[in-house]
Amino acid sequence: MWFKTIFRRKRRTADAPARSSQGQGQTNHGPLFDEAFLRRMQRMSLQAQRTLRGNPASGEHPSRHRLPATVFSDHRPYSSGDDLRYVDWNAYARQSHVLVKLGDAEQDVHIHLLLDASRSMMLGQPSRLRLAQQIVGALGYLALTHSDRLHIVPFGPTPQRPFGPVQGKANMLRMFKFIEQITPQDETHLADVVNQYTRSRPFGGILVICSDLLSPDNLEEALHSVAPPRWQTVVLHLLDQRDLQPDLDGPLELQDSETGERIELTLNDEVLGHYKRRVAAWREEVARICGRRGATYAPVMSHWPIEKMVIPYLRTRRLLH
Amino acid sequence: MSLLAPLGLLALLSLPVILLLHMLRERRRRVVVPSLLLWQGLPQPQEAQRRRRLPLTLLLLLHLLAALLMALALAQPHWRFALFGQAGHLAIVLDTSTSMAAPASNFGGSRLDAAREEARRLISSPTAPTRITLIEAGPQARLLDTADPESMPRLMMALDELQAGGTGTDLAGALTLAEAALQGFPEARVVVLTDAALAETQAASLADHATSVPVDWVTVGGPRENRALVTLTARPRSNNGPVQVYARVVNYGNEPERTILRLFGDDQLLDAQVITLRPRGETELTWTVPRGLAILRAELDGNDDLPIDDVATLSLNQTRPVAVTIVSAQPETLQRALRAVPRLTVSTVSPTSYGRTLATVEPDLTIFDGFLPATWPAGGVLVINPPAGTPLLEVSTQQRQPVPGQLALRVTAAQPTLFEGVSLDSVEFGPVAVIQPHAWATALLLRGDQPLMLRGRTGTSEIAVWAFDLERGNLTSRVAFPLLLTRTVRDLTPPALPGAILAGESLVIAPDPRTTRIELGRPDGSAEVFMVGPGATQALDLALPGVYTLQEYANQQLLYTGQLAVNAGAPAESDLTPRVLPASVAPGLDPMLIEDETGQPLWPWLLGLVLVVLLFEWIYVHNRRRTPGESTA
Repeated sequence: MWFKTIFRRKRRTADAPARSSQGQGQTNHGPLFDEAFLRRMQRMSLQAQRTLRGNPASGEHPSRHRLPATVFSDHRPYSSGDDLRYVDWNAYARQSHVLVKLGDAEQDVHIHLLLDASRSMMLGQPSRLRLAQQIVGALGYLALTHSDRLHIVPFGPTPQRPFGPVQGKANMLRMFKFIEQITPQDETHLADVVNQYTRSRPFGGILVICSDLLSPDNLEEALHSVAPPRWQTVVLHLLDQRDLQPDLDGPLELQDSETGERIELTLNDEVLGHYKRRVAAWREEVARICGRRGATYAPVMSHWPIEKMVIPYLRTRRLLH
Repeated sequence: MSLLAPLGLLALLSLPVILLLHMLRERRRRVVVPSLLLWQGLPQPQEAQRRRRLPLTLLLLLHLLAALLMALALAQPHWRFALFGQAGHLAIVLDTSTSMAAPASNFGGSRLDAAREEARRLISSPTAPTRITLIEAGPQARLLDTADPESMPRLMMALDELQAGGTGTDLAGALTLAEAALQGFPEARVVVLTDAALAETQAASLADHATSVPVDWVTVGGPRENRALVTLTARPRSNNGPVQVYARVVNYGNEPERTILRLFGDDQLLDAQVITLRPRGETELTWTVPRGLAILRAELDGNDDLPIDDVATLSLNQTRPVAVTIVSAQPETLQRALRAVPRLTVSTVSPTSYGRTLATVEPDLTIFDGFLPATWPAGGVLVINPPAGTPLLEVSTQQRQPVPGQLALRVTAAQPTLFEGVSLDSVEFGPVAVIQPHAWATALLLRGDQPLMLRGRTGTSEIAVWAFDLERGNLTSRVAFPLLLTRTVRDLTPPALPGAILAGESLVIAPDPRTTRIELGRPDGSAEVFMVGPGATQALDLALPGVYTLQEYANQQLLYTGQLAVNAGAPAESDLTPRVLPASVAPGLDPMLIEDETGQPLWPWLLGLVLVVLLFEWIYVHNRRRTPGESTA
């Protein structure tokens, strides 16, 4: 197969959690997927809204425009210059009006995959970055397979060198290599990155943000610039089980993985209870902001296997179909 | 176990420092979290903020253990005994001086019994070395026995036979003997069992005595009060007059004492006085007793902790009786000069009748004047003006008549005391017989190369030769003549016995040259016989206080009977106050040398343990940082 070279370790499936002994601060160097997984992914596609602007020359996503087509969906009066092949002669016979058969137009859309590559994404076993790479790889694969224009942008404090825009399966190998070679950045400024990125891309598209959202920036400010209908935004909130249920106790010195800042805490059940309540409130706040800004909020646990849990979950969130 | 550098234990002060550091800087487990956004501002338990207690962590225990082992290593501990079955050697030095007869505190018997019991415990201990040497530290140090495990009963018997007696404790000599015995053994140790009743100077010198082996000083007994008769002596007021006696009594206790001192002469009570002794004071007493008494004995009334020094005896008949036979045709000059010598019996024989009549008593000294017999008689012999042509001396027929003032007199170094205080400047010796001295003879006085006086010993004869004629010179009219004659008589006859000596003092007697056997009767009734050769001296062991009887025999003929008093009272023994002994385990050599000789240093093992602990600590800290559950969340 043409993409065989990127599957060096065939025995490991995409669902198997990458067991790296490198610990935090290191990317997992195993293959992102196996060949069977990609074949199964070919049956799916990204679910783009009609409101998105696209190029009808190619693509498979429905467009809000209707063009003369053999597949009937509506009529309009004939105007000079219309192709006579699409004239509905039966309707002319019944109604004495020359009508042209209209059909649903298809278009390609821009797929923007923003991947948080900050150090906080490196923690966990498996790391959140690993799962984000798999998700971005899978979504990118679907985009290229269905002739969408793909943009992959890893970001930290600023957007890094992007991959794309590219279209067509021929770019698949380069895409996987690009995803595998993403290097961790210091910290995240999500709002700055999103604003800076969308300012130069007025045509919109599907924007998928893969991040742990552990950024001091305001999420609402970030989503302000990617409002529908031009943008179909999906926020994939990558969570680690230890973020929700930390197995910590006693006197500790906590260190921020991005800034290196340290605080001393003495944890007990009472303090951990406060923490869990704060995390729950934070998640609710993120979901509420996403809902208010027309974005789809999809929390994803980092230990979920991508094929058995993440992909079905994204289908339920209407990102895939 | 011993410590070569005890100051190294000062490093133990690092333990509280480590505890303090751990309390001041409680080491919190560091955990890397994705972000602190969700952790900031959490309410903290007040109790945890206020309470700062000692965190009993494994890290703290490892630090304390490493510091403890390091401090022990700095102190350089050594095993004294074999670690891996090596042969050890223990030398037990036992004090047997008179003071060890005093009762021991907290023990039913004497100090010697307590020391003996301690020695038995050391010998029979399960951890006892395989080789044990027993050394007696009496007036002279003596190596008693060295025993292996098989011969330990023999060592026990030697231990049981020890008795307290003798003035002085030769601890320095005993330590030297012990060092010599322990030389070459990797595990060597000396244990000194003593009551420490020593002179201050001796105790101080022991502190300066460097030893190459570890020494344990074990003190038995304790401070006890005692009084003693430390001096009893006498001297005749005149040649045949009464005798003046002097005694000194000392109280070594801290309480005043009142007691009665009785003086006996030949077991007859002569006087009794009540004396009062101040604390640590002394009293002197004098008596005048009639002449003729043989033994004086002074006794203190009442019992104290050391009764044997409450009695002192003195022999008044020190001077030996000497029978002198003058073989001369004109003995008057010699008789007149010998009359002044006490306890001297003089008889005269003409040269023609010498040897023809059988003498009833063989003389102690024979003086030949102008005559020599065919053989030398036994005993002392003084030959004056020897004739020529006798086999005993090679005398020339030509007599040399020196020119006065031509050649000076010269006293040789053989016996210079004979001429001390004697002026020979105005002496004219007259014609001098030219004598070719035999090998046994040594010249005492020379004129040029011509011997005037000779001295020597041959067979059982002590011989002095005057090579001049008394009648033809002027020596007899000078003061030097009776002095020279008296000194010569004393030189040729055995010396007098001392009136009294201290127990344990070394006494070497020079018996009559004819003596073949000496019998020594001890105060406890036992007797000891010594076989001696002609002219030999004999050393006597007189550790037991009391009156000894000495008899000299020439085959079966009794030559002399004398009495000798031995007293135990002496300041060094009667003062039972223990002195400060040197600290135990104080080898005076370079510690590195001792390490080589005594072996089994522990500090390398301790340092190895320190390294192991530090390695374990490093691994623990490293793993704690790498463990996901601990380092990340």
